[in-house]
Amino acid sequence: MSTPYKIVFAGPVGAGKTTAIQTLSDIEVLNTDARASDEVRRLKPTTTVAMDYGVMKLGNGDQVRLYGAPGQARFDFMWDILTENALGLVLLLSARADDPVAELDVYLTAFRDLIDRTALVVGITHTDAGNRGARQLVIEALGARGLPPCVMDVDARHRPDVALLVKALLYSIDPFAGRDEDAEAIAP
Amino acid sequence: MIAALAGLPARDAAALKIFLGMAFKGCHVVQAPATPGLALPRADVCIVDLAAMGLAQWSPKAEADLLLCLGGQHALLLGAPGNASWQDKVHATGRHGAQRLAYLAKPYGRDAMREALDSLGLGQARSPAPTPAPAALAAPSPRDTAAPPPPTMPSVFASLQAVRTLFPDLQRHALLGKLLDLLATGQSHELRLTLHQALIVHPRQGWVAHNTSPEVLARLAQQGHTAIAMNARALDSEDDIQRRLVHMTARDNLDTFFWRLANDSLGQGLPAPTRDAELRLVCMPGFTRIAGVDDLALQLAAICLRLPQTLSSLRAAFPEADPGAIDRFVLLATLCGAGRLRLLDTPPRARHKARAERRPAPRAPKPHSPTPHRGFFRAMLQKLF
Repeated sequence: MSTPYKIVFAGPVGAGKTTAIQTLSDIEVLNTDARASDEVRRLKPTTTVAMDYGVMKLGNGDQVRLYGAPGQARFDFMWDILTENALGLVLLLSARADDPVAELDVYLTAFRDLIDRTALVVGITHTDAGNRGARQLVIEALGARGLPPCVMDVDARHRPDVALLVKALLYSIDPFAGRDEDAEAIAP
Repeated sequence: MIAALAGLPARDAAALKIFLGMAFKGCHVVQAPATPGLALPRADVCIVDLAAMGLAQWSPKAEADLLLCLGGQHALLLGAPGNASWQDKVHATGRHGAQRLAYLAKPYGRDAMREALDSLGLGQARSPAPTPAPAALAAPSPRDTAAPPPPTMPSVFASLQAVRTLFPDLQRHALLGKLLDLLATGQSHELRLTLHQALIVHPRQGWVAHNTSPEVLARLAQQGHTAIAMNARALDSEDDIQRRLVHMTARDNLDTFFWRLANDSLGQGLPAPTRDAELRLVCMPGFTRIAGVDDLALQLAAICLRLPQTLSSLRAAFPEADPGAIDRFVLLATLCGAGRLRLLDTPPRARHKARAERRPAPRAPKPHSPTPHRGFFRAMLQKLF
């Protein structure tokens, strides 16, 4: 029987959540983009107001639902709902941000329950735009907050980058993921 | 069960629709426009955004208008943050005859919403809360682990001597050795590779700039003796650095650059470690910028990010893996600055035996943590690569 799983992508407006989900999804990503409010229009003409939704269909029949949480803090009700029973959190932060650590803190607070229960990986996007130090700052901030600093630069348009980030999330959940299953699969 | 949503913004309506579908099996949601005075459709519960209905402030008239809209149906009233005018009234009356009313102030969360709906007598219709089955694979909490101290990249300085003791043959990789020596000073340097090709290392800001191709760098890394003639110069000021940067064509993060350079320097071979050592990762290496990273490296990194691990314990945890691949990971992770290495007294073989049982086990499942069934991870990993 197939089982649905859920991975949540979160991050500020314009960090690349929708794009990251699009790169992984086997279906056309459903999103509820709309004209952004004045406060975010300067960053992005449209923004996700409810969520993005994509699906990865696995070879064994399981499905992994990819949810993109809206990037504005005033939609935190959605965050609460989307994280229920999620496998883990992929947090995307933009290197263009004035203060990536402040943004990190917003999401660490908002998703604290999920992070405590599962695992967190952080992808730093838009590294081509400068601020090469963003990743290092986030690494230091996570370490100072007692969280494993699993932080990598990613191009949300580049599937191998996003896939590797999700893979790191899986191995953070279980470093031996798939190994015993492999052994079982080849056992007589 | 039928739920009618009145006046909710699109995002909140979408969120509630998902929530109700998850919380109440077979729940059907209808949306009604925010029109004061218009009767809401028949439903088991109406969820009403008071402000959108023009009823943000309680008054006798507002209450009469609301009750008219509801037509005697149960309702959950959503109020603006900090506006207690409705809250007091709803809590004072609770119900109008057979009609039940509940109030929830924004922002509200999942549990508050559930509780409010339960107070309207909808608890019986609710889907049972998911109860995670016992599973072999547990979702760990990062906070269960020993908290790593704040990392400072690159941490290779602290471990350089340990690395050289553990792998004395590294000395023959001259370019790598020279760059590590420059790093260890903590100062920015320019290393001239040829007449026209140079490298700038900036340890404090964690980057390397160069004007060579990866292929040339790989060749130089493997022909270590040429580095003897290389000329290094300290760059004392930011102005000096900026002037030299004009001639550079590429810039890499220090950790990924050193991982690749060390990997190229080692080639297919790897010197055997002289003793056991313990690796503590202070951050995940930048694997997305390193070609050819395999599953084993990711797995080892995930483990060493949780707790320090010895070479022996890693070999014991991955008996099917090539021990050389594990040694290589430990070496590269240290040289790239993502790990700190501590030498141990016992040789690897002896420790291997002593610690054979020390496989870093997944932790016990936590309440409400998702528990993937067997086969899921394998299918997911296949999908990702």
